[in-house]
Amino acid sequence: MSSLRLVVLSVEHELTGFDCGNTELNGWLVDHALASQKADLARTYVALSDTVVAGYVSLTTGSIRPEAAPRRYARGMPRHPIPTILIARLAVDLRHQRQQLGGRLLAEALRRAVLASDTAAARLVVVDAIDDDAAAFYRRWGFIDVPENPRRLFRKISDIRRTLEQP
Amino acid sequence: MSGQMTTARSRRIDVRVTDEQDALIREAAAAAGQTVTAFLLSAGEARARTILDERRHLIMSDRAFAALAETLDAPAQPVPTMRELFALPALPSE
Repeated sequence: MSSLRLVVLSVEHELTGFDCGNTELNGWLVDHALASQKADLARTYVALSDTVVAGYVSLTTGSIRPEAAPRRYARGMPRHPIPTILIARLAVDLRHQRQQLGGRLLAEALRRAVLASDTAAARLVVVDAIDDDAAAFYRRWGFIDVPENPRRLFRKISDIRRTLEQP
Repeated sequence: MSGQMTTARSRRIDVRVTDEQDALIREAAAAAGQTVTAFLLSAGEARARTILDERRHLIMSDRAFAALAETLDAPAQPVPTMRELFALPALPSE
């Protein structure tokens, strides 16, 4: 098995042959990942085997907020949006599946999320699961369903940090 | 999204196109059974939403939000299943 390394997406990487079995995740990598990177809308990390992308994960920021307008709040009710680090997409090429690359990509994304929140505070990591299998993958590693938001899961960054500190 | 945003189409976007682009877009719009305006708007809006990833921001009911916000103040707990995740071989970065 060739060794893999994780780097920030750049123009040199071969994206066109990438196939994780999901057209939306394939298409986003090929058509939008680089543009999002340049516009600082999402940071995409690719697991490379030579120059070929074996998998990717993209991180961005987000928020969770209550639906009501601020004037409707009762006194003492929380009203500030909760800042989040969002794992917006994670995908592994079919030729590299079943080798725990998805788990390794998630672990690296979480390490980076903790580092990011050390610098600019965020309270939660939220993951956007593309389908029910993906949601099950995140649950397996300890993520919890976000109330009222199907296929979104979360974990407190303080919990993730504590897990990293006490292996 | 924002309550102040109006749904009336009061703004214009002017776009110049070549003869070729004009023919291409008109033909595709006809094939899709849409007016040229509807066709361009749906294509542009879909691409814009994908790029800006508007799914970044989640909304929930006041009650659910209050319950979630309360859990933020609880002491940090290690996540046993996540330990296994961090035990996987790290991906070296250069």
